[in-house]
Formats: sequence, structure tokens, C-alpha cells
Amino acid sequence: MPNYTLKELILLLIALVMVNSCTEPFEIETTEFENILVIDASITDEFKQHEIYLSRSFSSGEETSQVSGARVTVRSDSGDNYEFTERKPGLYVSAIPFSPSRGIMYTLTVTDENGASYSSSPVTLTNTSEIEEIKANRFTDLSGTDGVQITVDGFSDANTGYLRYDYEETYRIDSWFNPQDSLVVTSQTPPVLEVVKKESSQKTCYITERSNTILLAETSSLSENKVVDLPVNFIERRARKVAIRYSILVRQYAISSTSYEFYETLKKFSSSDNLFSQIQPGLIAGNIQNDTDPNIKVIGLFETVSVSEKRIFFGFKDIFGNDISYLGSCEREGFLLNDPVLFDRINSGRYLFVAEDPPGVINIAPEQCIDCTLLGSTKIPEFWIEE
Amino acid sequence: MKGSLIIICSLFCFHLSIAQFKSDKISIAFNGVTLAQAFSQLDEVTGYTTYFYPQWFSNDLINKSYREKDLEFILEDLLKDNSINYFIYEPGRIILTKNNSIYDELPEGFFGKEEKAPLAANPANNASPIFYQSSPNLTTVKTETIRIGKEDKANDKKSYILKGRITDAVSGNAIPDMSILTSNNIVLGVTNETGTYSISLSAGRNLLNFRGLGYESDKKEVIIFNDGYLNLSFNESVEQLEEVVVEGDIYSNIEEVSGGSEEVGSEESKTIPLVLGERDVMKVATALPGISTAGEGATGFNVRGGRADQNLILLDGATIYNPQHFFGIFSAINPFSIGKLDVYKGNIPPKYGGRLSSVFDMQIRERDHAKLRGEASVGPVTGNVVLDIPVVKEKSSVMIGGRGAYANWILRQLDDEELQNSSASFYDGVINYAHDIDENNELTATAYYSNDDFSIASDSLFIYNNRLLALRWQHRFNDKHVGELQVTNSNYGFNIEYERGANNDFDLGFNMNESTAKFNFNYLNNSGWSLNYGLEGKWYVSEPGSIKPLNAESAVQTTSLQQEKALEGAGYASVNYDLTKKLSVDAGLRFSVFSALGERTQFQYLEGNPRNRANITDTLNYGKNEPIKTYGGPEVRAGIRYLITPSFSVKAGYNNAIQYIHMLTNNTTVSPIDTWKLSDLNIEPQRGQQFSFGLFKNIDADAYEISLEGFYKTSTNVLDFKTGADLLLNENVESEVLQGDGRSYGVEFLIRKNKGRLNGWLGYTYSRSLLRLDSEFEEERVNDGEYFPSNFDKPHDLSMVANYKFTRRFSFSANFIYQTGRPVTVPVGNISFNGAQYAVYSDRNSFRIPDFYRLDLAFNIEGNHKLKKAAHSFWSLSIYNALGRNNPYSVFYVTDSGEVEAYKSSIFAIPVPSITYNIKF
Repeated sequence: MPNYTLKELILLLIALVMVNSCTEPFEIETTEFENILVIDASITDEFKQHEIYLSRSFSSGEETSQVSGARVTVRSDSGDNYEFTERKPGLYVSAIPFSPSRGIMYTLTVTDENGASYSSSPVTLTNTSEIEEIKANRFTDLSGTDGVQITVDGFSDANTGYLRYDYEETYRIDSWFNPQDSLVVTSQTPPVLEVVKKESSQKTCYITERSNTILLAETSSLSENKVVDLPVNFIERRARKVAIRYSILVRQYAISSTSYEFYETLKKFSSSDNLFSQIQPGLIAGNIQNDTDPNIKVIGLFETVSVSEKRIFFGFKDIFGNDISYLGSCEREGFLLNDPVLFDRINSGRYLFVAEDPPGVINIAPEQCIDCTLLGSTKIPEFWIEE
Repeated sequence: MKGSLIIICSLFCFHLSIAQFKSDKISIAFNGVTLAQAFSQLDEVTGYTTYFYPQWFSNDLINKSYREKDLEFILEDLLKDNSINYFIYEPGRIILTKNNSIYDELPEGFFGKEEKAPLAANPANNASPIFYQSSPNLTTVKTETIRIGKEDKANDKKSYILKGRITDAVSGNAIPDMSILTSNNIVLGVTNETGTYSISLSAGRNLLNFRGLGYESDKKEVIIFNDGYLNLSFNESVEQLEEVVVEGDIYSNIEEVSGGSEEVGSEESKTIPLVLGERDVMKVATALPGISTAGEGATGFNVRGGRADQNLILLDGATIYNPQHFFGIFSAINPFSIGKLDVYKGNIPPKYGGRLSSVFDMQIRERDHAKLRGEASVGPVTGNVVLDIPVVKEKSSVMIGGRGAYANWILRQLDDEELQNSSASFYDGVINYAHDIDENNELTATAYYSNDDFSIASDSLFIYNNRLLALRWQHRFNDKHVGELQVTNSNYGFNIEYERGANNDFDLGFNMNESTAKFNFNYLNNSGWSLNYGLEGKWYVSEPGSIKPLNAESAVQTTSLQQEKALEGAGYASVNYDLTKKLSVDAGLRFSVFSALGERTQFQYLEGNPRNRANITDTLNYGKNEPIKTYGGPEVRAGIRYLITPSFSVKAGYNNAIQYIHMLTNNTTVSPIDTWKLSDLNIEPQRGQQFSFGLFKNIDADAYEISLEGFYKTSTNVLDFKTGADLLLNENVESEVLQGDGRSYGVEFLIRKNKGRLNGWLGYTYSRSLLRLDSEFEEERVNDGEYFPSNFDKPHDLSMVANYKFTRRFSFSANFIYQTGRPVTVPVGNISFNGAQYAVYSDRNSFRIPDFYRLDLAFNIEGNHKLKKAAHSFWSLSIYNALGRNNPYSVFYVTDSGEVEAYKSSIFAIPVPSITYNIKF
């Protein structure tokens, strides 16, 4: 035992007692698994082929089970029916592009693969809202980490505006090494390696990621139906995302109170920001019910929402100047061409050629140091604007 | 006064002191002095103090001298011609007594039990204390000790004859037919027409019970050394009732009519193992059957399956909304300031109202206004001091108490950044002034304030406080009629300061203020009945919530929910009547009325539709003090008791109540951020009723008490909430909550050992608490509208408290608690939604967290009883959670990167040792 002074011991003890209340994962005895249909049907006011997702609940450790063979229809009280067809298991896309009209009520009906039918309550297109500005500012978070915070300013037309946000980030990455040649295996026995010209560049790639957190705002308790400086995302300075150039598309949905409560409940179930209080969980109701037996559980939300979106770009220097950015750790190793270790490594596919330096010595490095397509695509996105 | 108190104490425990006496040889000469002067001289030489009445001695002068004699010899020689006896108590005091001297006042207990019991007349108050600190040969009951004859060591007779006459204290008339019984109720004799008696007693100490119809039952300790005479006088039972309360006779728990009540003395709580060195009467109460805590470190109690908001907690008559500090680990009331705590969980007397499940009535310690006294303690986390300061000697005194936690200071000393940013501190202060104006009037005033602030997540600071003011004037109209007027005000508020650095930093507040005026009268008749009646009025003003920006950058608009006001009034009366010697009834009725008052806006919802914001049909505005809605009704409080034998009784009770105030909490455990809501147009009062039945048996006088009680309770309009309800700052709270039916039942078993080296109790409860939330609408129905276990349904609840005294200075205590884990709602699978995974939950409360159990140990060391010691000290070494059981405080689920994980958190997952030093002077 290390030597503590009495004072330190006392302090340690008290600290243990007063603050270090213990939180630890624990194994819940798995109770009866319940098979529940999940319907995610969010129709925006964009004119497009809308998507509806059907899946079923699954046990922990298993994969999401997608629902195949269901019939999905959106009906309007003006008599228009929009059929959705299955594009791949779980994904149903409207046969034709459409956008919901204001003042018309829409209802979703789903007949699942077992023939059970479900309907939503009628919904109408929500009021419009607008994103005014997206800002990216250097920010130090509460734990003292330096980074960039992306915030949004928006407003809603309605007196009590419920807003939901999601975003799509796209960023550029550059490979650590950018060789013009590559080393290929031309014969296994005898082992033969050959340096050839590279066919395509693996230097610069673009990665696009969708947010999967629930971000909500309610304008009623804020001034002027406005949302100001709502934090959307925070990225550490040393993250690869912001090392070169970064873009974020923020989408703001004006949602109904039903949707707001649905998402709010989902969000509450998944956050633990206060150790000393607890939300009573329960089945999330949504607005979809089974048509014949109300005791059959279904978790589903059907909404027709207006959407507003905005995109911004920034480069590392725009935010952080000359400070240190992401540092990859890539080291190359040199081998003689006939070294069996070199052959084995190249043959495994996990190492790639970097350069011949000095002549006769083949330098290789792990593939992620050379090939950015492992993470993204070399295709420049349509919206991408370089500085 | 302290001196004389010691005399009295010494008088009845002298036999202990003799054994401890060690004398030195003394040389002294008395030359022509009176005996009285001789004793002063002896005091000077020996350093002893001799207590006596000078008039016992004649003015004859003595001339004596002693060389190298021990004190006993000198005393014996000096007193040989007088019928005066001596004893030496705790080397340092010599007490002289005349053979059958009568002392008109005695303390109720042994050392440290100086508090006088109040002059309350309600028989429910005489439940005997939980803990007797007595040593084997002593009882804590107030027993007058009488010595008969002078000890003559040459005499070896085994028994003596005691004769005497018993008269009425007021009229002087003889009391015939008064029985004189032994402590185990063997009749020794009965007085005749002239009030005289003659009984045979065995030599030495005898405990006699005197019982006569219409007269107070009394006990006398008679130490008989020779044949002698003892004349006694007794008061009529008016006095008796008051006196019975002072120290319940050994069968009080049997004879009391209402079941389900307990009394906890503050002093008794010090033998319960402590957590972080703080003793706590509330902790003792929660170790009784039928009362369970919400969880480790969670505030709130559940009494007989009732919600935590159904407990009325009073300090000197004023309501305390949050009686605990720091998540319930410490009681908010200074333990040194409390005299006793009465707990009613069964039959609630009609003088209390407004809560369905229980009443915790705490009284500030009574004082004798004689001397400056104090008590202080230093523990690892808290420091505490209480001072009693006489203002007018023997008439009035003030008590000032203060307590604080120095955790903040400690946290700041630490290197860990997270700990430095944490804060957890609390303090409380109490001032009580008591004035005995004359023998018929007594005035007391109490002021109390407590404050807690803590931050766990570093972005939010929680602050809550209680403030109480209580004024009571007690007036005795005549010997039979006593009245009191009580005026109180209590205030509870909390704030959350949320600071994350974004534009939504806020300061959120809640406040509840309650003012009460109460007239309470007791009429006591000697022909077997007594009456308690009164009137009570209560005025509520609540600020249900407000939010304001915390700083200039914040875009949060200052908003506040409308103030809520209400008036509650009640009249009550109850009669206690002995139908026969064996059959006694308590019949009480309380009639309460509640009116929610404007100025307010209320929403009207579309009938036949679920209550949500979309279904609001009208907004009703009410003017200032305009009644919005009035509720009310009779509340019956009845009990009956039949004595099968003097030590065995059967009790039954029926009780109903109306509660007009609700706690809003969307947590499964009560946390300090709960708000209270008054009934209004859309939220109806809770109503509950309870049937109870119990068997009570004492064995070996009151050495063992055994009870078996059963209860069945139903309630309506119990508040619960929809899934994920948002209750803070919601002006449509009625659209977020559900009112359902509650049902609970159970059996409680308690065995208690009151005497001997080992004392304590073992309690076991089997009970269920169920709730039904049914509605024609899906969103207002939980678990298909069937009964389901409430959040605090804990079928098995076992508690054991034991205290073993090795010697008068060393004792060991332990308590053990076991409870079934409380119900929780668990994930029954996962879903993918919008790119992330979430848990899907089961029906509400269909799973239980692991069982709760905890063992606490304590070793107590009383300071030595040294000669002329000014202060009395007490060390307590304790280990909380000695088994290191990781009892979950809460179980929750986190979706992180698409993975659902279950977490449990616990406050004290390790054994927590502490050491506390207490000093009393």
C-alpha cells in the first residue's frame, strides 16, 4: 500500500463516499423477448420518392430484422393514394415522387408480412420553419477539450414550434503516403513481387456520415420562436474529421407535438445525464395502432413534416489557424525485394507499397496509410466546394 | 438543577454505585459543630459533596475525631443515632436520606434521558420507547424510590411487614379497594374502607404497582430494610392520564386503542449504527415494520405501500416538505434538538389530516430552563452543536442548534478536477424558545431552516431549502381541560441552476408555502372517557415553477407558471371511551374541505377524449380568491381494543383520509427536485382508506413485546404519470399525469426486547402495493388497465436492530435490513429507429432489481464517569454497509453508439467506516 498521510487518507475516504458513487454495467436477466413491429415513416415536404422503414424488434446481440413483403400505402383525404414498393428488405419507397400538400390529412396503412394491418392517426403537414444560420466556432467543452462547435439558429412559424434536427457530415481525408506505384504479387510459387503503376489514386477521399442522435428544440419557451446557437455537433481539434476540410448539412424539421413527444421519449430513454434521477421507461406509443387488436404492440411514427436545410464548409485553418491538427501515425518499413517477410505482408493485402528508397530497399506501410478508399470514396461529392 | 437531578438519579441507582466505591482513609475532627456543619467539613476534607436537608438534624453539637478511618465508617458513626441512611454515589457524592422520604419529582429515565415527556393526553403517545438504555436492574419508567426502615446489617430477616394508609391527594379522603401488586401482577394486598393496608414484602427492593379505580396507577420502588409504615396519596385519574403519558406503564402498547403507532426517542437513536457519524431518528423509524425507504440514499419513505407524498412530516406542528439532506443520507433535523418522534401508520388520530399513509410527528426536546447545557459532535463529514441557554431561570430558555457539512471544503482540497467541481453541502439551524408563563400557560416558538446544494453533473446545481416557523400556546383551563393554539408557517423551495454555456442556461425555481392555524383541545374525564377536538385551517401558496435566464447570453425567456392558492379547513373530534374494563374504543371524525382559489387559469378538456393539449376546449379564468373547485368530505378514524388478558390485546381499526396535495415526480425514486401540486379543476384529491387488525402481547411485563398487525388499504386518484412525462414548467400538468387506484395489503410482525444487556427488535413485513391506471384511451392506460406492482412494492421487508451492552461504557450495536428489490421496467428487446438503436421496454414494473440488504455495525464508548466531570462524552465507531453490498440505487439504460447497456448505480457500494465524537455538558 502506498504511503498516505492521515490527511490524504481521510480526504480519500470522504471523496470515495461523497462523490464516487458507483455506476457500473450489469447484466439484466433477459426477460421474455417481445416481437414488435417498428415503423419509421417520416414524409417531408420535398418533392421526391419518400422512404418508409419497417423492421422488428430484436434481441440484444442480434441484427435488426427487416420486414420484407409488407404492403405500405399513404392515403390522403383528398383521395390520393401513394403506394410504396419494397426496394430492399425493410426499405419501402414511394412508387412515384410526391410532396404532401398543406391542409390535407394523410394516413399510413401497413399490412405486415403476416397479414396484420396497422393504421396511423391522420396527420397534416406541419408549419414551415427555417434555418437562419449555421455557425462553426472554436470552443472548449466542459472537460477542457479544444474543438469546433457547430451551432444552428432557426425559427419556426408556429407559436409553439417543435423542431427536430439531423445532420450529414462530409469531410475530406488524405492518405499519409501517396505512392504512384504499387507492389503486386505476380506469382505465389515461387514468390514473385512486381512494382507496377497505380491505376487509380488513393490519395484523397470524402467520407459522409449521418447523425444518429436525436436533437430537439422547442421554440415556445425561448424568445421570439427562435432557436439561437443550438449546439448541433462538437468535433475535437485533433479529430481526423476536421483535419483538412469539413462540411455539414443540417436539416431542421418542423414536427408535430406527437412527433416531439415520441422523439423526446426515445431520447430520454437513451440518455443518462443525471445520475440521480431516472425516467420511468415504458412502451413508446407513437401514432400507429393495430387495426384489429389494440393489445398487439407496435412502435411507429407517421409524420408529414416541412424541412429546411443549410450547409456550411470550413477548413482546419479557418477555425484553428496554425494549431496542431490530427496526427496519423504511419511508419514505413524497408525490406529487400526477396525478403520472405515482405512477400507475406504484401500477400496478406494489409500492407501496401510506399517507395523504393534507397534503391533496392522496398518500403511498405499498413494499407490505411496509403489507401483512403478503405474509409471513404475518392469521388468528389456534387456539393463539395474546395476553398 | 443539574445537581439535584443527579441526586434523584442517584437515589434510585445507588446500588450500582456502592460496588464502584473505593474509599481512602480519612482523618478528621469535629469540635463542637452541628451535624450539618460536620458534613460541610467532611466535604471539604474529602472533596465529596453531601446532599441532605439540614432540618433533618438537630442543633446538638458533636465532638468527634477520626484517624485513618474510611468514609463509610465515619458516616456510619455520625449517623448512628439518626434514622438517616447514606449512600455514596459515583465517588464524589454522598446522599443522605431519611427513611421514607418522598421525592416529588423524578426523571423518566436514566442519565441522558432528561427530557420531560410532553403533557399530551392522547393515549397514542404512550407507546413505549423503542430502546431502553437501562441496565439490567433498572427500569426507565419513572418510579419513585422509597426506603423503609434503616438497614441493619445484623438483621437477617427475609421479609418485613409494610403498613400504611392511602389517601386522595386533594381531598385527603381514604382510598378503599386500591390494589397493591408486584411487578408481575401478583396481588399483595388491598386497602380497606379506611384506606389502610398491610402487606408482606421480601427484604430489599420491591417494585409495587398501585391500582385503584378512578385513581392513577402508579409504581413505587420500595426498598425495605425493616418493618415500617408507608402512607401514600394518589391523584384522580385526570392526573393519571397526564402521568401515564409521562411514562407509559408497561402495558401501554397493549392498552392503547389505536394500532400501528410507534414512538422513537431521540436518545434511543444513538445506539443505532450511524452513517458518516450522524444519528437519526428517521432512520430508526424506517427500521420499523411497514416503513421502507425508497432505496439506498434516496429520500422518501413508503409507509404500508403508500406513495412517498402520503406522509405528513411535522416538526413542532409545522410541515416539513423535504425532511432529508443529501439524497436522504442525513435527516434534515438536528438530532440533538429532537425530543421524540411519534409515527402513526395505522390509525391516524383525527387531529392530523391531509395525508393518506402516515404521520411523523417530531417534537423539539423539552428543557428544564435551569442551566446552560450543550451537546456537540464532530464526524467525518458534519459538525453539530446545540446549546440550551436559560433566559429566566426555571421559566424559560432558548435552544440554538446548528449543523453543517464540510464536504465542499474537502472536495476542494482534492486534486481530481471532477471532484473539485462537484459540490455537496448542507446546513441547518434551529432555534426554540420555551416559556412557562405560569402553571397554566406555556409558550413555545420554533424557527428552523435547512439548505442543501449539490451538483453531480457539473453543469447543474441543485439547491433546496426548508423554512419553518411554529408558535404554540398551551393553556390549561382546569385540571381536566387543556387547550393549545398553534400557528405555523412552512416553506419549501428548490432551484436548479443549469449552466452549459449555450443560450439555454437557466435558473429554475419552485416554491411552496403553507400557513396553518390550529386549535386543539383535550378534555379528560375520570370516568373512563376523554375527548380531543379542534379546528384547523391551512393556507397554501405555491409557485409551481418559474424559469429565468441564468446570464445575459441566455435566450431563455423569463416565464413562470401561475401561482396556485388554496384553503383547507378541518374540524375534528375524537372520543376515547372505555366501554368495559377490557373493551375500549376510539371514535373520531374529521371533516375537511379544500378549495382551490384564483387568480388562475384552468383548462377545460373535451369530454370523452384523452386529455392532451389538442383537446382543450376552453380556458377558464378565475378572479382573485374566487373558488375554482371545492372538494371535501368526512374522514372516519375509529379503533377498538379488547384486552384478553392484561398483557394481551386485540385491536381493530378503520381509517379514511383525503389528501389534497400531490407530489409530481417522474422519477421512480423521490429526489429533491420533486414539486408539489395542489388539487384543482382537473386534478382531484387522493382518497384512501385502511382497515387494520392487530394482536399485541407482552411477555414478562414489558421485557418482550410481540405484535402481529395486518392491513388492507385502498386508494383512489393516486397520481402517476404517462411514459416520459414532462412535469416541470408544464401548464398542462393534468395532461401528463394519470390518476389511478391503489391497493395494498400486508402483515407486519414485530418482536422487541426492551430489557437486559441485549435489546433491540426484529421486524418482518410481508406486503404488496399495487396500482391500476385504466382509461378508455390507449395513451392513458398502463399495462392494459390491470393492477401492477407499484414502484415501491417490496413484498419482503426484514429489519433487525440489536444493541448489546458489555458494560455501562461499552456497547455494540448492529442493524440489518433486507428488502425485496423494487420493481422496474426492463428492456425486452431493441429497435432500430432513424439510424440508431433503442431499447424497447416491458410492461411497467414487470421486473425487480436485485434484493437490497445491508448490515451496519457500531461500537459505542461512553466517556468515563469520573468524579466532578463537567462533560459527558461519547465516541461512536461505525461501519455502514459492513458487507460492502452493492445495493443498486437505480437501474437505467443507455443507448450509446447504438448499443443498449444496462447500468446500475449505487451510493455506498463499499463499507463506510466513520468515527464520531459527541460531547454533552
